[in-house]
Amino acid sequence: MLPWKHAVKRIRLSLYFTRTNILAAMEFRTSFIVQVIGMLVNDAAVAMLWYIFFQSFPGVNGWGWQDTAILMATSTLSFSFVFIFFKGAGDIAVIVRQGELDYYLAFPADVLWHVSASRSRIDAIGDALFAFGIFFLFTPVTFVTFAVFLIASLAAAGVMYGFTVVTQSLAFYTPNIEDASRDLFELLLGFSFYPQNIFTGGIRAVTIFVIPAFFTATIPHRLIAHFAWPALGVLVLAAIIAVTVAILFFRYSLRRYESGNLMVTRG
Amino acid sequence: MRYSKYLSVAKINVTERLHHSSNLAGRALVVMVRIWIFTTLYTATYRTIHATTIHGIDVAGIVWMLVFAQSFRQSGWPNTAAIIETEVKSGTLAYSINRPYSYLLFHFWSYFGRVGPNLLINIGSAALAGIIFVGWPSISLASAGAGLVLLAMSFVLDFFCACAIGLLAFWTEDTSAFQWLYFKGQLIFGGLVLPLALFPDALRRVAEWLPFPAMFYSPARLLVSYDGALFKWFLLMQVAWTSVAILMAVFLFRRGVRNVEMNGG
Repeated sequence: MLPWKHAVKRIRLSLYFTRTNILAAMEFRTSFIVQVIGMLVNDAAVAMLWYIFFQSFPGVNGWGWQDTAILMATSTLSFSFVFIFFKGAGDIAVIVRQGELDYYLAFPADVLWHVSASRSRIDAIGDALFAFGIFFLFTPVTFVTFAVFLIASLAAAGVMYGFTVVTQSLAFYTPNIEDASRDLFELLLGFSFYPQNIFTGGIRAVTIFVIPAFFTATIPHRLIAHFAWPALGVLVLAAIIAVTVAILFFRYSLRRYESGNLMVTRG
Repeated sequence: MRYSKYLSVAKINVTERLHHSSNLAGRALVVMVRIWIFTTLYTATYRTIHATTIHGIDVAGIVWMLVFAQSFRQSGWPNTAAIIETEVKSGTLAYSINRPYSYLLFHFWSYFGRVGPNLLINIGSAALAGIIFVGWPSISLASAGAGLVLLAMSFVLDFFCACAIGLLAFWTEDTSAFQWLYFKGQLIFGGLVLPLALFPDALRRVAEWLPFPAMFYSPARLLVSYDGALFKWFLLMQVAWTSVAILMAVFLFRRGVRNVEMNGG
């Protein structure tokens, strides 16, 4: 099969998985609504914290509330792209520890793609709603900024996905890494909500090479505030590298996997 | 003898946490990076407004407040609400309530068993970061005493609030939305990013009545600088909110277990 046909098939199947997961979650309507609204309120609470911060301190090195609103819009949209469509990537450590990877290994499909796409995080729909809400309410909306918002968030989602897969795949090397993997991911999100212009020197290096918040937060914000083609190019390149590294690292790590001979019934 | 079983529960949880050394190391690293971020943020903020102190607190004071508040907050993991929710949803609660111990006390001591090693690691790593970035704190005997009293009470308050939230699973199945609200309440009003001392005055006066500042912010604030009136206020708030949380947890548990059906097997 031609590579592009293969890619289209994967995208179609991913969308089908997501649709099925969302429909299954909607069976429990109250729970579904509580999760989505809950996340929306949750994000609004973080926005409120920063709003209070900028009431106390109107600007940090020229960074104001509107910059934080842009930052939150891109970060939450990237998050929702990853976790609505590829939530399984964030569960790799648990899946490995519980020996549930056996199920995915029995299929001819690529294991990482199958694990990632088979689960959806329902509350991430609330993140997506929040992202669009805060973007339209607090940022200068034009056709260009909206297009940049979508493209930059999608590319940042690629970096976020890559980082998630790599940190979760550490479970192949050391047991009980789930909390640590989650902490590292939270750190990425944590970096994504602070004024980006305070990160200079050593801490900037950390956000580029260790916790890639420079690509998931700094560049997307910069693109919307002051668009520049080179910055977009860097972001897209970073996304391609992150996803490629994630795939290679997962495949390499998968060799260490040992079946737990777990027998389960799947509905 | 009657209560020794709860000490055993706590001991098991201490051992279990120590066994998960990679998780503890990961958490320590996260706490250290966070302190680094806070130092950078507040140094830039104070520099922007050309101030060395705000309400009598300098950057080092703010950073140490966050060192303590973040370390205390992170020590209760894994989250009690999520543990109880899972037990209710999966039905393993039916197994626990048949045992010769109080379900709530079992989780209470499990929580304190987890807090011990977590607190040591978190406070150690965060304090190391604090010393590196802003230097040693000046803690008086009075502030240490007041801080420790408030810290013990804040863990009790946090446990019973989380417990009540987890028990809501009897009715709602999924309590994640309530958990987020609780955590975000802590994040905004619990001084985990922006200490209450830096809030706009009107908002601070309202926030001081909420349970969140009475949790991990209160010991952190008192450890940094002792204030007798503030100590009494926080203690009063802790006692009041802990009483409410205990009553809620007991009420929800008693109502909830009525819905449990055991089929044996």
